[in-house]
Amino acid sequence: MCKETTYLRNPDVALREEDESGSLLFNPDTGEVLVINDTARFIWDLCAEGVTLNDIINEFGKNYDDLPENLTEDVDSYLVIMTKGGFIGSK
Amino acid sequence: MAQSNCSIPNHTKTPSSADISITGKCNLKCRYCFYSDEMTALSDLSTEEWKKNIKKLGDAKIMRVTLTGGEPFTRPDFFELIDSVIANRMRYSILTNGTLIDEKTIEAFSIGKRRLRLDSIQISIDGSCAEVHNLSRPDSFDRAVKGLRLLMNEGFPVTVRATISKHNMDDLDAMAAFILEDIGLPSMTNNEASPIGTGCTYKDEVALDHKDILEVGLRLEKLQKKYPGRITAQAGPLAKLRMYREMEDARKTGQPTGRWKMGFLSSCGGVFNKLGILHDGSIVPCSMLHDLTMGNMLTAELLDVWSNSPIMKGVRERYVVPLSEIPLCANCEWVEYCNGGCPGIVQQMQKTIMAPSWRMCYKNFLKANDIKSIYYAYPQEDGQV
Repeated sequence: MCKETTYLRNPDVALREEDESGSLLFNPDTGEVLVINDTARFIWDLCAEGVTLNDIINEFGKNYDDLPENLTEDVDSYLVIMTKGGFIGSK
Repeated sequence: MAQSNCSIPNHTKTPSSADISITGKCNLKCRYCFYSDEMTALSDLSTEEWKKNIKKLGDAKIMRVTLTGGEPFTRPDFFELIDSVIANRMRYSILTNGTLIDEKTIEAFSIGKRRLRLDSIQISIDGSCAEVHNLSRPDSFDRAVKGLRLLMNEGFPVTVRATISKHNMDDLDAMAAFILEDIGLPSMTNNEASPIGTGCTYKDEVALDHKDILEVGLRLEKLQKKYPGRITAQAGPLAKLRMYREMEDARKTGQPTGRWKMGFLSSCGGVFNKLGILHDGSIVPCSMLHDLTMGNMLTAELLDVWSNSPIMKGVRERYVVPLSEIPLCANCEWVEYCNGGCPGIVQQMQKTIMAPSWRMCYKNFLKANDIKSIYYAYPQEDGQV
């Protein structure tokens, strides 16, 4: 994925905070639901403003210790899933 | 009422869906409508009031609403309300009698995201011809079928529900052929007319008894074999026969069904993720529980009602009420396997939710049909006895 790509939330998507099962994103245009874990939730929150992959990785570094080695790949795959489902847009 | 030690399932933090009766007005007078006269006497909310309420639903992150009535298409502002649903990031379905759908309606749906956000539009068809359909839904067959065909031809996600009553129980084969073959819908659902609301006034004319349930259920199961995967039911004769077989199977194998908590008033899972709004803005656990008002959308805090209303809690607490504690059921041989049936039907017929529905009672069903097991009703070649 291009490092200059900027990601931004689809404003129509709603975040539902469920009790035990964490959170989910709902895309009303497709009816698609995406159950998200804490990592994906962190990414979603950052996508309120346009962010790049590097921005996201930097934010993880600022907010968490002991980051996994494959964090960049993980974040990248979340971004792909969210983009494919129309939960976020990219440019 | 005593409760067991088992716990009540968690409800979602906010409802995931809501049934909204946007009007009490209807252009038909169906013989089994559960929206009885006392309900239609309530005033409809204005356009602005509904918009305010729909925003509240969106703010609560409700994902889907079902717009119903009365007849939703009687509201001149119906599409304005649909646009409000869309603007508040929700999808929607419509329950309609179909009689007011014309070419202009189809055109109106083409604007903006009205088509994109539409999950389904369900039309009630209760017969294969006007002679049968109009017995339950007077003077409406031709208009309903016209609306249905228009939607079909334009590729809308249209479904049909047939409400089975004494009026149409002998028309099932023809009805299935009409809807699935002549009209060509991929599938249809069915339920049954209940003696509540207007259906109470006409109960002798419409409501099925236990013998009817068996006869109709068996006929529908044959139709399911003829039209595989195309005839479904969440309630009514078909669903009841399936439930009775599951009770028999559970007793025979000692394995719980998994679909309900056996031996408890556990039939209704809706109140854990869904609620109802009446046309005057009243918040209710379900439209079938329309006399259990928990506040009004215009003034109440929706999520406070959802989590803290004593009524909502009461309906959820049914889940841990053992049927063995209910005198009527205590000595029943099926008490460990039953779920007590729909609280909406019980509430409307007995004015309590903490009771089982005799209309769902397997023991009464067997007695009325003079059989020892549901499996005795099947021909031996089906291999079920």
